[in-house]
Amino acid sequence: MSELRVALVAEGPTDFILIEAALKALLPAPFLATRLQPEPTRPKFGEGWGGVLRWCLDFASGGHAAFEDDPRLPGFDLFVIHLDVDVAEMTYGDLGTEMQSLAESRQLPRLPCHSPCPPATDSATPLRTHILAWAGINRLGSRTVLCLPSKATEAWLVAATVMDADPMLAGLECNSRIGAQLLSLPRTRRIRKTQRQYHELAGDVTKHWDIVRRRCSLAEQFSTDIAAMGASAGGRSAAR
Amino acid sequence: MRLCEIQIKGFKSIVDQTIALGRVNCFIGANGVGKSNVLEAIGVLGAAASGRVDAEAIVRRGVRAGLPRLFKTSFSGKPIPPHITLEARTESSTTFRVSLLNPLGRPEPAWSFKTEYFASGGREIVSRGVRSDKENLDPTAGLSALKLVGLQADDPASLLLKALQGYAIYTPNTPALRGTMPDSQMRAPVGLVGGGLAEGFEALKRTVDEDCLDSVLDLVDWVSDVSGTESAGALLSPAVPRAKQVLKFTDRFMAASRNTLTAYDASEGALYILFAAVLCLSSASPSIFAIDNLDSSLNPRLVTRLIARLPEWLRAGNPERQLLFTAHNPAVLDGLDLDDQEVRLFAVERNSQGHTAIRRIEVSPDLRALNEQYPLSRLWAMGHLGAVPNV
Repeated sequence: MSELRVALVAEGPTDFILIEAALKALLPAPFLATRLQPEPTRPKFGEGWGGVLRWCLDFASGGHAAFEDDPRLPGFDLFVIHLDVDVAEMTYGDLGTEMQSLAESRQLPRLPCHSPCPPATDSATPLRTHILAWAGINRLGSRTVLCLPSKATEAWLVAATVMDADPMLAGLECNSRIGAQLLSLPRTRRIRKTQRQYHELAGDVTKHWDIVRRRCSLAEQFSTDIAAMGASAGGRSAAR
Repeated sequence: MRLCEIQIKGFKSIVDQTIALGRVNCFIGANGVGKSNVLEAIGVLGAAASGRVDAEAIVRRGVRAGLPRLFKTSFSGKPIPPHITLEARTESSTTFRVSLLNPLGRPEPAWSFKTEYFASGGREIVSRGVRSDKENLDPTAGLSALKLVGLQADDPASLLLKALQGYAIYTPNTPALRGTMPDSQMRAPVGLVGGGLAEGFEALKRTVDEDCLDSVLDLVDWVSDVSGTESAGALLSPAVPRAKQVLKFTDRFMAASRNTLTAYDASEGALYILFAAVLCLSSASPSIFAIDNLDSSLNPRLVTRLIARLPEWLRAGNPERQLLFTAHNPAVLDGLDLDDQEVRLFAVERNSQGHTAIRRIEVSPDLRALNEQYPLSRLWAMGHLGAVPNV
């Protein structure tokens, strides 16, 4: 049987690395991951949440009911769309006046849409609806999973690599400054946001995914969604 | 000091073209339209700046050696011009211009300087014309190179001449990058076909900061580390010829005790990335250089990422450094930020008479509108940018 083909739409290259690491823990067999976004040939999309938003708006222009229906995306067994929960605190205007106008003309759902954190899920839930609206779809297809790891994906890195008593674990999913904190750690523990260093640490995320799930409610939700996708998709999917 | 303009007259397929250069200059076009001729013309000018234009001087700069009948423009129905004229100008109004002669029938080993002009900001340093050359000077010796001795090191004229003298065309090939074939034109930090890459990369690692190194190694996603080693005995078959130092790659997927391999076994794409990085970032690289077929052996997405990093790398290596390169992979275009005036794209084509025509592609409102729908790579392949063969 051929390997599972996974399409990832992520805010940035380091997010892609961490989500791939999580999927390694969640999918029982090796898979082939393809990063659809950030995509260098579409510089207008850019990186960050703006890139994900623009990717979704571009998809919406095709008028398809689900990612699985787009003939430009053939042969993928799983679509993962990533967005950090800190987007709930943003406005479309943060991406420029052009996006602000576009959001108004297309009546995109309102931003900001955040709720007090914790729990992080309260801000994540409306964002799920936002992603659907951006992509112009009413519901997710059977092979699509949304991945909203926390205010910053680095929470998974921290959850996988620190001891129980580490102060960074306090309010972990609600900390949008976690990336800067990792950078300001003493030299021996410092984590720089580079693909090289994230590749080095990605193995820990895979290895300690059970701990990550325990420490991060949204990691637990992502695990559950992947498992549910496996259950509903039947034989083709290989989710645990 | 940076070259802002190059004028080429009567050289190979180029009858008369002026090119306004930026920091990063990409030349695209069908095979055989004259892209490499642009690079070679500057190589010949570099030899002239060093005082002698002969086979040795031009080959050392990566220019293919050729007879005058091949170097001079030749089109049916038109007389072959007696000389080649090449000129370089900088933003500080420094000019170096030569007209070079060599008879078609009985070619001499070295080209003669018919005229030579070297000036900076209105100050004439050398002005040597047909009529002024009455002093029994050796016509094959350039005067500007001699005058350089008397110029201050930071004089714009001195900087221009030195930049031209150091110019070279790099054409990397895989055996040289792997260290299994010698490079006949060795230079610091790497040879013209990629020899000495291990030494060049090791030297670079010692001088750049971690962020810079990451920006290089991020492009080779299967490695966790790269270094040079002189003890590759356990990694390389004794049957494989090797240079003194070889590159050692650590594969992030392989088991820890057996996760190293040398440049001989590594993906060639990784070697081309390191080659480009060393040239752009090393302080020992020329301040102006060219890479012919920069996109060799690289996956489209990888080459896009590489191209996007070139301006930053060049700036980090030397604030005045300039790169000219040719490419065939459309994905190259998606890495060019054409809103940056320092990044320039040139379409090279043959006109109806066969003359090479060089046209800068700028981001017009129309092109920007098209680019919102289609990446530049697609627009090129679709013919919207020109520079495609009519086959």
